[in-house]
Amino acid sequence: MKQTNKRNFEKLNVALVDDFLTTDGGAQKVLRVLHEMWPNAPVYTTVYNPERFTPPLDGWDIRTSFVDRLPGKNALEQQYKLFYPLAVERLDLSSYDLVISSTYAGYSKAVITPPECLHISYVQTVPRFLWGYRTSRHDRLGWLYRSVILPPLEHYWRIWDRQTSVRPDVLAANSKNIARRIRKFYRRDCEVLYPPADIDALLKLSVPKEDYFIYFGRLEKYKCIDMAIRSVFKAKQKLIIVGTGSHELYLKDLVSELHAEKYVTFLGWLSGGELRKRIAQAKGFIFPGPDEDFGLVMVEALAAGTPVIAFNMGGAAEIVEHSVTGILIDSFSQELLDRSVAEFNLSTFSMEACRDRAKFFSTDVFKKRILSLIEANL
Amino acid sequence: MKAQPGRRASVHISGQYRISIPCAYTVPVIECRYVLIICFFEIHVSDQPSVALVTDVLTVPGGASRVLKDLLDIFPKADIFTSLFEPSRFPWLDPSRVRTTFIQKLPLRNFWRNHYVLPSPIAFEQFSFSDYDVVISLSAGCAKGVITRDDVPHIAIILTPPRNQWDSDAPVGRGLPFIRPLVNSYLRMWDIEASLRPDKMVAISRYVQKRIKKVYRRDAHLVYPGIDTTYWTADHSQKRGNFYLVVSRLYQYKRIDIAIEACRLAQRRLIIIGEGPQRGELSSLAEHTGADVEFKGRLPDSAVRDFYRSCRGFLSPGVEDFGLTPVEAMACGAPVIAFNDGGVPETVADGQTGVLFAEQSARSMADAILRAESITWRTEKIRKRAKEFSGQSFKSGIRGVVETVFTRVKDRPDFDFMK
Repeated sequence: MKQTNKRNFEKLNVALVDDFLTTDGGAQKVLRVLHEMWPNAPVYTTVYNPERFTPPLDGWDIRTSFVDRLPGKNALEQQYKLFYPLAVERLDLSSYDLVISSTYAGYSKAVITPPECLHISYVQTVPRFLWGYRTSRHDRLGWLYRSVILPPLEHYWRIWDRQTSVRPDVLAANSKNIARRIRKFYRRDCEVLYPPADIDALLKLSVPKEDYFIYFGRLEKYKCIDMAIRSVFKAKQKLIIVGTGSHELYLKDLVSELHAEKYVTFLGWLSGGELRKRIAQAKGFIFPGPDEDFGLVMVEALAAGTPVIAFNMGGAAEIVEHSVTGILIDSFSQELLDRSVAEFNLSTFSMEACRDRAKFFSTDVFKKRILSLIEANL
Repeated sequence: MKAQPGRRASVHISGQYRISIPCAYTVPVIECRYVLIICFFEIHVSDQPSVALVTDVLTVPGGASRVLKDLLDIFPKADIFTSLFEPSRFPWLDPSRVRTTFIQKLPLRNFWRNHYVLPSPIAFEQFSFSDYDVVISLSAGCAKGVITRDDVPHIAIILTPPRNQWDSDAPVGRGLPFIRPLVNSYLRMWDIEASLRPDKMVAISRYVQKRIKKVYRRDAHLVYPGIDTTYWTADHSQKRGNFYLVVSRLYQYKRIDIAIEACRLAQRRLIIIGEGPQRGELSSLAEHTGADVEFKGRLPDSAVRDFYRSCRGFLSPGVEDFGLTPVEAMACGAPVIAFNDGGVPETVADGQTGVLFAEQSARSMADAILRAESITWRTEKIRKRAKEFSGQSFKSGIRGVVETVFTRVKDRPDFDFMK
């Protein structure tokens, strides 16, 4: 690698790779930041649905695989995932010096790059369902799919996933948690590179605090938002829930069951400015999800000067500092969460400390660290 | 302790005891000071780590099931996972604690009894171990390929890398000529993947350690299996007879044919205890060559012990991964005449507790038999050697490995299994 005689960053031919561009989620935020750093780099991916991106990816040079041109690509989106391994291996990256892939389902790390090329893969998660973690989809599927069709597919997929983890020259995990999984399932060492959080607007926001807790993010079963509802109800505190998701109805039912309407308010989806204001006004952010892969929402809360109450596991343990920027609860229990919510006292936390902690995860820090990672390995 | 939404809820009582409650929907962990125990819940109270034992197959008792028994002594409340289980062959095992794969439910049980290896990779990957603190697998095959999450350590006791894939002289086998090589090729590739899954490997002999290093390029801890040295004992009042003894399952790779031919050359009587697919061939070999051989079939332990105590010597012609029966024989005071390869030379001391011969041939073994007869054996010396391989030392060895892994799980997220 050294004999490519230290070319300038500007002269490098760079390409970006993403698993699939079918949703505009947290994983794609990373891609947007990478594209900011290399606006001329083409983006290779399996499938692209332009209409699903807000703001749209105008002017991006997006190159898709053959799966994108198959008939019925929207209706058969899940089924076509079978072809993704084949598709990524057919992407032609032979003319690039630097390839940065962003992966959260294991596909983009499998691209084949020429020997003189440096391939850095940013791993946001290791495919959970292949390596012993149950996901919500597993529970929803019927017997035939779950017990007959999926096992041989996952069997092959697992072998492919581990084997292709060898292809990137450098693996960068988005947290120590994921780094540990990479070490166990792929048996490879890796760097830790925290994801970029878009917190500039939040850092500047300064509004007086109000007396409510907040939860914002997707409303899914595995995030255990119902525990937050029970805790605030018991402590007779107010909670605002911002966001939508598959678990929304269940949570609303729970609130009526407990007759907790005067404590819990659902605000649905809010626009950027509104949401930021609410986050900054809240006295605390309750994040009850165990083992969340990273949880950028916690960084956003801290950037607004709002301490975080979370369990001491997964990403929370790496973001929040106990007693300084929030409360980390040692074991996963409803009673302990109740107690922490009831005993929460905003005055024991410094908003300044929260914002400083958040800056550690800012986009600027991400950009600097990835550049130094590239430099170290060229 | 461990926390995730799932099918089982864990209830901590005063930080020490743990009740596992099966429930149909997600229940978060509850901490309570007083618990009213209602009898329709299945209760599993334990202050030990909860352990899952995984083994290849439980259809025919053998060396592996003997080691399993010892593991159950260390962890009596462990649950057992295996591909195929025949409860009638294992009366000492409580069937309610044994979980099997889908292979158990397939029709044509007889076919699968001989071909369980083919679906085993997929089958073992379907097991979920999220409710356990540590998983210990015991395998000469696919059991080491189970999946455990990053917070559940997996210790694999390797009896041997699978013979059918890695022994260069493994028999080709019956069936269509191109099917078996293709199948073996796939199984070999998967076996390498599977070898990456255990966090720690334990070998049962230096011989197996070397094979693991060669095949998987991994280092393994060494823990010798053990025997019950209080049961397998010598009887000084009993006089030794004039016959030689083989105690073994009758498989081709055990090379009992060499023992038969060697005894014929040395003109000595041979008694063979054990059953297996080679029985017919070995019987006809004995008949045709006029060797003085008696087949006793399968016998209970007490009868086997009598033979160990009264034989003139114990014969081990094959290459064993460790060899429990030679150790049993030595514990009963019998010298062992063994081929100098595999795990047996690690237990038999040449000239002191037996004789090792260099070539795996009948002539070489016959010479060794005659050499053994010229030595005056000291029963106590032989028995002393055997006592080094006691069940106690095996159990404390395994306990030691589990403890080193288990205490470090608590230090996450910096916990690194590879160290």
